Amino acid sequence: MNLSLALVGNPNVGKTALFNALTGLSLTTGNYPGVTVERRHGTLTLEDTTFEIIDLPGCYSLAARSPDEIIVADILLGQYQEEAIEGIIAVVDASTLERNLYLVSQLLELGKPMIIALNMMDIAARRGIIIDCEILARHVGTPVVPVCAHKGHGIPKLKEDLLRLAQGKIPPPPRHNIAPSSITLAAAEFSRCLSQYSGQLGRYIPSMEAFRILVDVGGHSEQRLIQSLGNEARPFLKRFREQAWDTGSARHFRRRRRRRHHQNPHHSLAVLETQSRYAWVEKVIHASVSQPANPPSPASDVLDKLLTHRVFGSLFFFLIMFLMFEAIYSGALPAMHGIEAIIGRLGELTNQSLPENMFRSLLVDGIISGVGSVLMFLPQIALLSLFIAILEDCGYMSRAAFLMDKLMSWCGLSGHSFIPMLTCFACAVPGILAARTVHDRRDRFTTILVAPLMSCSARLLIYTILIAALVPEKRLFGGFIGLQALTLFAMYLLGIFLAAPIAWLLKKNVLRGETPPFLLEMPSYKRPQPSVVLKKMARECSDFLGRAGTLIFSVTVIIWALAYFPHSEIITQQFDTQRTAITVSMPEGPERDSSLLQLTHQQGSAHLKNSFLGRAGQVIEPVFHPLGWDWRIATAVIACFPAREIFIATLAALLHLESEGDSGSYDVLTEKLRTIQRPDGSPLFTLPVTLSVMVFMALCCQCAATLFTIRRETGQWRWPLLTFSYMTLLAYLGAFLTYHGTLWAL
Amino acid sequence: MAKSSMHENTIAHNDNASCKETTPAAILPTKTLAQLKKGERGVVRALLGSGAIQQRLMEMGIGEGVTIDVLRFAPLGDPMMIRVRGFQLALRKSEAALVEVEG
Repeated sequence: MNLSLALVGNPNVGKTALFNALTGLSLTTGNYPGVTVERRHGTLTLEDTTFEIIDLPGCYSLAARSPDEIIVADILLGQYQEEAIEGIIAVVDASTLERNLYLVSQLLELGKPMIIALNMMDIAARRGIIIDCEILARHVGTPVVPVCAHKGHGIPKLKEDLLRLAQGKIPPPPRHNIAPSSITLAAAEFSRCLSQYSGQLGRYIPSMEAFRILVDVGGHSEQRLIQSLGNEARPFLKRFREQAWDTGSARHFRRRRRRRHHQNPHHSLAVLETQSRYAWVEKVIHASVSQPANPPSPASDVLDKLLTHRVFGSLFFFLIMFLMFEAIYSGALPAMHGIEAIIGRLGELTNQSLPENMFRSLLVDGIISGVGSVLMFLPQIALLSLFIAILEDCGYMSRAAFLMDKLMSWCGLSGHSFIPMLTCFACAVPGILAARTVHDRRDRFTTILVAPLMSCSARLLIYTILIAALVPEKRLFGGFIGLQALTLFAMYLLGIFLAAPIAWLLKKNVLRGETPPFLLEMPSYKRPQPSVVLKKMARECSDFLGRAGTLIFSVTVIIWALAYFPHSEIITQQFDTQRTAITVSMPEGPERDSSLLQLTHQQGSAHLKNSFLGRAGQVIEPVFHPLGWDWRIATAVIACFPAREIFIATLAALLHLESEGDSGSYDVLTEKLRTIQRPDGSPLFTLPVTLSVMVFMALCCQCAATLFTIRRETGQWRWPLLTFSYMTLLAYLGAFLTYHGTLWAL
Repeated sequence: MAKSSMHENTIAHNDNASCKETTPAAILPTKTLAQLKKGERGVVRALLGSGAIQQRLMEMGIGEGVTIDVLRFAPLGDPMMIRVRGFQLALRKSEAALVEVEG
């Protein structure tokens, strides 16, 4: 027998821990169609029954407004045919029972068998809150099982009840008439009335949904009704809202009729609903819970006093951020170097064991380096997701949002966006993944879209090489500040200062909408659970490899092909004759070896110039001419589409240099960059050109990994396309202004 | 005697504050939650505004007659952290300004 159950509850009540405790390792994840809400399923087999458990996103109410809440409401109200649920496990936090029971009061009306899992009894007990589960169960009308999800306490009892549910021994909860009867009656009539439109609607609207349509003005259910019925729906809405209000308000507001803000029936049904529900909740709490009048200050509060303190709290926050940044920025380096070394060694071995041909080049420069470019991100992603999982699980993440909210609100975002943005200074890929912690969809998309403007570590590499080679070592302001350091600093500031207006513009245009309330619960601090944290980390990594990784890999191979083909035989033959000439004319020794090496580099460079990529660079050179670039810089910029690191490598290849390998290459490259000339003999990399290249690299989105991660996180191609176009435009304008500005200033 | 003194009181009050209503609620100082200071306590009298934000506030338990403690403000003065119905909630001052309290 199969039975589908939904795991429902407020955020931060230990739902994931309970889900893990019930389903073990059977988790499968995916996305709900059309939205980026994660779909988490697991199975539990007890005797001959298999329970399919759906872990729904946390929510405070069925009045749905955000994508997460819409999914919860849709599944519970039976909108997803493929996700029909037959029972509910409501996870309830015993230490904040009052607010949790609000959602329970809504769940009770769904008419599905339900079990309440009362989690965090230990925290409640420490606060002196004593809950009589039997009385609570009698009042609510469902079994109540006290559990301690992370310790596994109470799980056997919960499983027993699940079996009873499967055997039909747990009836749907009795009707309590918690919601105001005026609305319930109006909703039932509304639902009957809508049934004549079921052809247009394509389905029947149950009275529970009709209830939400009436109460949640501007909410998801109302919007969907208006979408399918058009303006025909409005007179109905008006009629039934007024009906619900007239009979309801007379009873509820007899004493307060003078209040002006209660007079609009359209908005005040919500007042009626919440008041009746909380009245019921208070009644239940009064009967089943005893708590001291002056509860002892829990340890969590004492900790909070310190961690959100103006001075200590801020200091601690920056310490944590520094540690996290340091871990992503430098902590991941050994692992990244290790991967680099292994990939490099693998390439060398392949180079040695195979003859030089197209297949070898595909294997070494396409496939092996493609795999490398994907794996390179893994250490950073693993470390970041570890940090975020710990911060979220212990409850600090909400405090971080609290501390940083004002700062981020200056560019129209909320405190949630701080950590994703900060992470982007190490790498945009984990930064965009971190944006999952941003609750509001508009804020989240805005964060994702401006995040790549932050200068990542790949850009730092380009900055340092170009600055060291080409920006003069001058001291400014009486020797206090070096010009080189100042340039580097300016590059970082550029992205930061552009992010604010861009975010503002995005929110005014493509991401229009009303500002969501910043109502954020501060959960009690608790020790992070290793099982929850490690599972989350492992999933992030495998997700990245599976979905973004394959795309990044493909692009690397495509760019290889563009840089390799047509691989003219004539060029190879020319260089072969020269090589023979040198071998014959020069005596054996280091001199001949270096000449031969020089020749090999020149051959690579000639092939690259003749390749599709090189030709493309030459064709679009006029486009980049206003920026002061020649075709070599243009080619390198196109070639670095898979990842910015390739920019330096391609430039080196075009300048007849071995791009990787010996330690001396860095100095050689610096020297070469200084001396490289245009066809007319003038130096290519003048200061204006250098700055223009750096500004372009700072602002452009030449990073396939970022774009594919954006695609994966937003679920649509339009967002990475928008990011790429606006950043390229910005980069071009920025580079143009920089080039001409510097020319003029000098 | 008692009657006349009460009458005088009312008149005096009207003169002082030029208040139009004389119900007890109007005499008690009314503030919004955003105006409370750290450590102060208020009882919700009414919720201003409408729509999603009002509904959210009410769902989180900020309803008429509920006691709210202001715990602290963020380092930059906004948002604020409150305790309501036994849990801690952070909200921006712009949202707290929708909550009328008797303090």
